[in-house]
Amino acid sequence: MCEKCRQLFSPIDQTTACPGCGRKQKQPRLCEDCQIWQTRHEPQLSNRALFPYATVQEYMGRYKFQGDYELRKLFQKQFQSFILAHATGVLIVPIPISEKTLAVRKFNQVEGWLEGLSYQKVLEAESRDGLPQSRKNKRERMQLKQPFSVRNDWKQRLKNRSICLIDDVYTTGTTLHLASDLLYSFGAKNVSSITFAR
Amino acid sequence: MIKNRTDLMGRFIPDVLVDPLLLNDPLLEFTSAVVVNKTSIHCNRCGFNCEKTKCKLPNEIFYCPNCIEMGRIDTSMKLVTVPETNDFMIPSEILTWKGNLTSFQRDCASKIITSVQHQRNHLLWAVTGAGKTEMLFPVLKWAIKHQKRIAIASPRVDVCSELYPRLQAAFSNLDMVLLHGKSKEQYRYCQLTICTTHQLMRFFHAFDLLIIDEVDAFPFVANVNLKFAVTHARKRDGQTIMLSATPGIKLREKVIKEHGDVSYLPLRFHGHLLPQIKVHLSRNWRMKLTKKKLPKILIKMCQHNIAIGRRFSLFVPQIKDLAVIDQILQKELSGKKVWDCVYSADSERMAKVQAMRDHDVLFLITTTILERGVTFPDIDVMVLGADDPVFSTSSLVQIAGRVGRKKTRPTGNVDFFVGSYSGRIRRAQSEITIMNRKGMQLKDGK
Ligand SMILES: [Zn+2]
Ligand SMILES: [Zn+2]
Ligand SMILES: [Zn+2]
Repeated sequence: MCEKCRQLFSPIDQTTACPGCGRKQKQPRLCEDCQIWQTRHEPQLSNRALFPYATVQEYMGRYKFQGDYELRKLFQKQFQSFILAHATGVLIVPIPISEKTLAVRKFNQVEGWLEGLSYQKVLEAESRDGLPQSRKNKRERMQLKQPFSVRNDWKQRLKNRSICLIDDVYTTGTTLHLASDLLYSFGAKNVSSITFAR
Repeated sequence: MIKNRTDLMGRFIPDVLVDPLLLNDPLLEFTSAVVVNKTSIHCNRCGFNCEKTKCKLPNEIFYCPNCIEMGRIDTSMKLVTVPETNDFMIPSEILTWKGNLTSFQRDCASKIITSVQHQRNHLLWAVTGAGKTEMLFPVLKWAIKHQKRIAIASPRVDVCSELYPRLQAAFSNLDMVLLHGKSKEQYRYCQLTICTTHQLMRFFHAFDLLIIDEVDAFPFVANVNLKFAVTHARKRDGQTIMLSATPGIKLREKVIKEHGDVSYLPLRFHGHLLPQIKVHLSRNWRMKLTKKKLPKILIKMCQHNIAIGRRFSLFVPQIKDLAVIDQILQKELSGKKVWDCVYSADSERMAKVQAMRDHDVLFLITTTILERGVTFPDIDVMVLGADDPVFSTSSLVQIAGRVGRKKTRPTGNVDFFVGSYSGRIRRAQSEITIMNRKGMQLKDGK
């Protein structure tokens, strides 16, 4: 990518971003969406994002949805240094995609950017099909909300760990909140997150 | 999911889009979608070769980045086809068009039929406004009657969209389908397909007769390798008819060398000559534009056209010029806003072109997208910055050819505003002069 093109992708100013979700703002205070999260969710999640979503929307369309895996290389360096600058000495955990999505896309878009960085596949995304909603009992239905599970080999190893989740886009924040809930339930000490876009 | 065998006839479709039940049909034929060679891969859909290091998915799978917009295909997939059987119902009245061809047009039309009947390709070289669509009617009628499967392909969506209703009107008893990236119409097995050249990649040995419009726009337009697309979409023993208003000498020689025929029509359908380009020097127009100023003469012409209700198109070199000019004109031209700006990636492009067609606006300010194919019968054209390199000689000739397309107004004005004369403008003017000279000779029966 040439300098001219690079300039089209201007990152979010971290000094004024929302401390909750990482969105681009003029003042570094909790945005409205995050204030709602604050009232109904504990503990707080703090997310940092590299780009405003609008800036990378077209790129994401081509990379993730059309599946041009080669385009991971465009932002590998920048995204990795962003992660390293804001998450040192923590376990780096990418958000997984379901088997079904993987079968079609044939790559995990988050792991594509992390190539060469040391990260751990702690989570698994459970396939959302199976029994139809109505045939499940209430407890099963509640559990459905949690799309992730911890891989067997990590179940005993999360106690007191500091973890940084990595995802592509922070949209509503639901995905990251659910993943962090799960990690806390396995004894994690601190969970933060970094996304490519917000 | 494709469920019917007929929908695979002459098609070239990734197996993942075909119903698993249908995949067991013994009539289906399979080809690897992407082939792996030593250091590169080859895509069987678009013909693109790509270095292996630049298109690798995890798990040793390789994909084609070139045609990814049609849905990614990779080395784990097959392309599926069912051999074409030309299973068509021929209507009893094929050509419902009641118009007449001029004797010059008839002459070209019969040369085309002769070529096709003798299994030869044909290049129809006709000036803009010669009526090439109508000249195709006889060969289309012949081909339909003889159970041939036919496609008419153009690199431009607008051209396809304009062609489709005209063909529907001319062959009103025939089922035909329009295919392009933006059309909502689903694929249907039809004797006549109108599509973008892009869509040809979804066909395999389907067409007996393949008509390619604006062949001069190739070999590579929008990632389409025309030669590859034609060889794949056309049957081995099929023919190609190429249409062009400005074929280069190379193309003409190539057609003849490959035992094809060339026919030539330097006169417009109404028998009038092409309007010549008038050049107005306007030094530093670009710099003035940054100061929110347009050439005075251009504004005068706009005012004049508005006063007499003359429709026109104003071409500009760059998309970013549109907003600036729009602003200046809003200030300079009093009264209701009678124009619109349109560019190629404009999401409302089709609607705006339609508004012009419906006389809802008097003029359009546009980048080069309207230079070919899209016709408004009675317009003038202006080009601001015709000396900008985005306007090639052939596109300048095309732009001039937008004018005088109506029998009742066979001429009109072509005004170029330039900072300085460019070689491209001179060549465009001399091309028009040459064609007009030939047109005169034809008229005089020489
Ligand atoms: Zn660049
Ligand atoms: Zn926030
Ligand atoms: Zn391809």
